[in-house]
Parts: sequence; structure tokens; C-alpha cells
Amino acid sequence: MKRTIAFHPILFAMFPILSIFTFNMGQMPYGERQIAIPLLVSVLSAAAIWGVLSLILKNSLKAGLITSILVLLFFSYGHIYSFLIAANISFTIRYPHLTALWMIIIIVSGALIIRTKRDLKNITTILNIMSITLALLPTANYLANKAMISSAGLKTKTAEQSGENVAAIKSPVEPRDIYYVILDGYSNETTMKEVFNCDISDFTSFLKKKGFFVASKSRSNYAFTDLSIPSSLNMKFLDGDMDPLRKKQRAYLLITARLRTMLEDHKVKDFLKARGYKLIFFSSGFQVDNQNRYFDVPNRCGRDNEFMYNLLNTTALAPLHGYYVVKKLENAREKITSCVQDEITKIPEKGPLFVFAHLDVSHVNMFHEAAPSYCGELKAYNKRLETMVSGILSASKKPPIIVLQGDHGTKTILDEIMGEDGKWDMNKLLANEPLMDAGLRQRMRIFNAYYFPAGGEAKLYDSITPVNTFRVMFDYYFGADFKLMDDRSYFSFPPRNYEFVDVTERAKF
Amino acid sequence: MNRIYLTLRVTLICFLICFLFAHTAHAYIDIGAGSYFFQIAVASMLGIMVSVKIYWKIIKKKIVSLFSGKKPLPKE
Repeated sequence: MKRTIAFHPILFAMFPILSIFTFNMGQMPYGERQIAIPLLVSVLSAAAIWGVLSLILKNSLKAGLITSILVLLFFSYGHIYSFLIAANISFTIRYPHLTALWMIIIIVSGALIIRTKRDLKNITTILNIMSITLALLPTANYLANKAMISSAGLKTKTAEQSGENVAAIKSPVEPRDIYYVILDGYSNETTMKEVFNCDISDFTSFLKKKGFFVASKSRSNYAFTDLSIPSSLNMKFLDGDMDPLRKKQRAYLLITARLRTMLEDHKVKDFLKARGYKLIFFSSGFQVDNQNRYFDVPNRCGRDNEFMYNLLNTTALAPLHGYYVVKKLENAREKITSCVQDEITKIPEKGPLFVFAHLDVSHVNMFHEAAPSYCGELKAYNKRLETMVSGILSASKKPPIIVLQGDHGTKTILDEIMGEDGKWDMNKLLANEPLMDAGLRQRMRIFNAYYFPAGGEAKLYDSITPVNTFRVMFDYYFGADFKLMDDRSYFSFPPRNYEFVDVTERAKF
Repeated sequence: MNRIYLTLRVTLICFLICFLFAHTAHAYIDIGAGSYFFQIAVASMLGIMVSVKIYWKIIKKKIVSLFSGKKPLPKE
């Protein structure tokens, strides 16, 4: 008599994590490490439930069946809820209703399984095969994605490979420390006034008094962080890198993977490393740039786990988000932001330093952009930035180079037209030209301030865009010859983030 | 042996589906609900196929009795 073993709960417990991971592989170049702990916790929890139920019921097949139902219901909760939202049923079905339904399913199916006298070998075999399928699907997808990414040659060319003569460019005798601080989603001063009735002139006046040049007509080159920062750190527009990938299979995977590579392995890093700079990285906590493995200090202030946050959002723990998980995440980001603002002024490494810091303004932006408290929170945030700037300046023996730059602006106007899925409705936006123009101006016009000492300020201009930040800097301070590019702005509509529309004229001041 | 062949067939189908399965566009971390349910649907289809195979005799008996108007023979 052959013994049937119910291993399906273990594989069912692995599937949801593997599924989200493979779906986001382009964003998670070292994701294997990120999923190890959730995978282990999930598998061990399923095994523990199965073990306890086996002891209680004295029937491992019944225990396995109940465990699998629990696991699948647990991990499907958030998916079902988001499906209901997308289908616009969320008004009638809220968390308590869904939770009640889940409880009923668990109690009824549990009672039926416990009471049944049937032989469960066949159903166990069927579930075992289903679980193998569910474990194999994302695993096969993972292998296919991995093969596609490595065969697409997404790595950035080194300066030597690109035919650039790095050594020919002379370094300054006493190089200055460089601080490149990204202020995530920080709009231009005019936008703040027009859209939010928020006067941030105190902050700009403070910066000007300190010797900053505030580019009053600056625009971002792209509308999203994962496009904007790779563009500025590689001092180029992205079409040249995106176009060859667009025609390939799994183009989006390859494009996201390429952008992720460009975020870490970029031209600015190569240029400065070749000149003896120490590279220090401060993460925002966002998945998009939560560490840089090419930097000497890959991440000084820690990072939160966006993957974990999203994974939890798919589970039956989703209703607890508002009370616990989101608060914990916000606090984590808040902690990171405070740490960066504090640590950036007392970096122990000896220079010359290139310090990259991506500051999350999420407390005032991501979650509360439309809230009445936005302006007040932003002003409080500006005060912290002022302290940070003063700290950097007073800690530097030789006046450093500082850039405070929004990677894109805010988006409350574009958010006015949302589709049923909670995302921008592209067709409605395109049909409403005045709203679209106002939305573009809000999103593309950014805050952009430079501390370029020793005459560097003279090379800056009001309408400078991030693609030219390091071109101006390197040409002036390092005697390079990058020259300026056209200050163009490209918008893209989610989910087609990588199909660009030139909106320079519409976003211009 | 049958089980080995069945597992091999399941594996082959999985791989074929994966290579045909196109990724949708997404920015930052996406929970990929569509992909999640699609994979569950594929596994369910396989589950149904295996169920039909396992319970084929019973299903066949039921169908035959339904169309012939005879009651299925009692179990011996």
C-alpha cells in the first residue's frame, strides 16, 4: 500500500511570494535575498499549522487539506480585495465583509473536512499536483526572466568600453565634496504657490542667502523616479537605452532591469571613482534605489522593505495596514529621512566624497499630498533641510558642491481624473487639454537648487533640467567636455511608463 | 510510472505557459494580481484534468447511467 504524503501546504505557502517576486524581477536585482526571509516564515508557518493540526486530528491528510485552505485564503485576501476595488465593488464589499466571508469558508470547509469519512488520498494527490504546478510556474518564469536579463546585456559600459579617455581629463588639485540630494516629488516654488497656495519663499531665500542658485524655471526630464534619476546620473536621455529593448520579448522586464542597472552602475559614479572619490549612498527606503552595491558605502541609514509591505498587502493582514503596517512603514521612512539628514553632515570617511541621498518626502507627499496639512508639513520639512544644508556647509573644510533637486513634481491635478482601477485615466486626461496641461506643469516643474562655489554658479541657468546637472558640474570643476543637452521633458502614462511623449513646450514656464 | 509521466507532462506544460506568458507593464513593486490568479487558474485546470483522470470510471458510469436511464449498479 503506497503512502500518500500531503506536501501541498508547503508549496502553496511558497507560491504567493515567488509569484510577486518574479512579477517584479526587473525592480529587484538582488531580490533572491529579499524573499528568503518571507519565504522561510511562510513555509515554517504552514508546516507548523500542519504539524499542530496533524497532532490534533491524528490525520495528516485532513490537516494538510485544512492548512492549504488556510494558506490560500490568507494569501488571496488582498488580491481579491484589490480585484473588488478594480471592479468597483469596493463600495459594497469592505474589509469586514470579506473577513466574515473568509471566516465562514474556513469554518464550513474545516467542519466538512474534519467530519468526512472519505479517503482523502485522491484529493491529496490532486492538490499535490496543483501545488507543484504553482511552485513551478513562477520558478520557470524566474529562470526565463533571469536568462532574458543576462542575455540582453543590460550592464552599463565602462568609460573605457565606451571609448572615453577618462585619464585625459584632469582632476582638480583639491577636489570638492559633492552632495547630490534628490527631494522626491518636490515641485517648483511657483507650483507650490499656484496649486497648494503654499509659499516656500522662506526656504528659497535661505538658500540664496547661503549662496545657492535656485533654478526658478526648472523642469524634470521624466515624470517618474525610476526614469528621472537614471537619466540624471547617466547624463543622458533614456531613449537610446530603451529603444533596442522595446522590440524584444518581455520588453518591460528588460527595460525595468536596465533602468535598475542604470540607477546603480552609472556614469557619474564611474567619472568620480576614476578621480579618487569615495562614494557614499543614502537610500530613501524606496525599492527603486534602496542600496547601491557599487558605492563604497552602499547604504548608510538602512532601508525599509517595500517588497514586504506589498506582500503583506496581499494577505489577510491587509486590513491591519492602516493601524499598524503602514504606520510602521511610514515610521521606517521617517527614521531613514531623519537619519540621512543627520548623518549626511558628519560622514566619517575622508574625501573627496560623492554623496548621493534620495530623501523621501512621503510624509508630506506620497500619502498626504492632497491633505490640508501638506503645506505645513512641507514647511517643517524645509526647516530640516535648512539645518541639513547648514550642517554640510559648516562641516566642509573646502566649500562643497551641493545639489537639491526634485526628481519630479507633485500630481494632485492629474489625480483628479482617475480610472476605475485607481490610476490616471489616460483617455479622459488626453480629452481634457486644460487639465492635462495644468497636470503636466505640476508634475514636470521641479524644485532645483545648486551650490556651485568658486564661480560655478555663472554656468547655471533658470531653465536647467537634471540631465545637465552633472554636465555643467563636470565641465566647470573637472575641465570635462560633456557640453549641454537640450532641456527636454518627457511624460509617460502608467502603466506605459516607458513610452515617452515630449511635453517640453506644454510644461515650459 | 503513470505518475512520473503525469508529473513530466505537468512540468512541460508549466514551462510552455511561462515562456508564452507576457509580463504586463508596472512601476515599482506591483502585487501582480492578474498574474497570481492566472497561475491559480492554470493549476486549477490541471487539477480538474487530474481529477477527471482519477475519477474517470465513476464519471463514465454516471454519464452512461444518465443517458441509458438505468440506475448505476450498487457497489459490490
